[in-house]
Amino acid sequence: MIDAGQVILSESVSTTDTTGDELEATVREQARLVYKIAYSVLRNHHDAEDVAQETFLRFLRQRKRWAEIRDRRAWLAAVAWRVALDRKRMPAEVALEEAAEVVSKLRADGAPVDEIAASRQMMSLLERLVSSLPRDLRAALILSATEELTSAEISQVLGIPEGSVRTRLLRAREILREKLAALLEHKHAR
Amino acid sequence: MHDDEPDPFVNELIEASLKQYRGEEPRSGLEMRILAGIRTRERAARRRGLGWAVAVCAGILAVIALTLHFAPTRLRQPTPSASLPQPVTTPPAPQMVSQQAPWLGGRRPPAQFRRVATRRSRPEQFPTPLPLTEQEKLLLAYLDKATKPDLVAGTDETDEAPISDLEIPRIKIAALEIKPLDDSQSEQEK
Repeated sequence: MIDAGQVILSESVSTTDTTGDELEATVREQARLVYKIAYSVLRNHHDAEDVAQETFLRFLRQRKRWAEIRDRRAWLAAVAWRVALDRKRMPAEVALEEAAEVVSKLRADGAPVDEIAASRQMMSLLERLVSSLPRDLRAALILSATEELTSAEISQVLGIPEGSVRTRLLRAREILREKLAALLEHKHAR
Repeated sequence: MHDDEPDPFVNELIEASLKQYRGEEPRSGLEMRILAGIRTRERAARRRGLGWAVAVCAGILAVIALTLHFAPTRLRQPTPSASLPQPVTTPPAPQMVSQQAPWLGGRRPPAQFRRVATRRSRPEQFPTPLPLTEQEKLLLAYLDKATKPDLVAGTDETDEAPISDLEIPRIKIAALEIKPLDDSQSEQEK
């Protein structure tokens, strides 16, 4: 039995039947992954959807090589990653001092950690801290933060051994922790 | 310093923030939007390809038209009639290009000069004789086969007929009669 969604999807791509079916199936399975990778880089819904569309368009244009792509999921993740990086603009300038002050104040007021983490100031602070990481560490951390890819898949996307992915993740978290602690201590000392 | 005594608050805050960092779920209908976007962009690409094909065809046609327009004039000359004077035979033109060419030391001239030499070689006769028409061929064949008496027999026989002498009657001169003058008439006149 075919549901309404499938019918609509079938009508939306004007390629040959086999290609169209395969593309639809791939979009249905991997759209979320592609979108989340794009979003993790761009931090914007609209841009992330554009990147997802571009990724699947590139996939469609490679239809003659589909049989050669062994791991389609990793292939799409790698393309989405590269397309998103190409589109990435410089993050908006955030006043670190002000953001750290707000976070310190929330902490002093006894706000729960989850509430502080969800605050706009903390997200801005984290974005700035992540963007200040060395590029290798930042890539591993961003791909890991999507919680969509395993270490093995991240290693395929970045083209590095799986062990290096784990090492970079640990190192990236360590640096983030140090920088955040330094910022909060500085505010606390004042 | 921080490595020795890690702040548990900072650790928790980093982990909670990274969970937030992974972003929100995509909006519903993501697959539909992606497929619709792919269809639109594929159509646009096909239209662009068609436009290029039309432009290339138009260019080729323009080149052909220009080539025909600027073709050597003798290709477009009307067929001369048999009444035109016989073409003047001229000796073959000296090969000016080869005399002036600096590459006479056994080497082949550059391609561009070879092409020029080929184009500028003069015909042995000017204007270039055209093949005989059917009527001219028939006339020549007749002249080859016919003997001189045949050709003479073709002339008009009345031209050689003897001319008889003219008979002119003799002129007769009658004698003059002169009457003598009357006296009465002469007095009246007085």
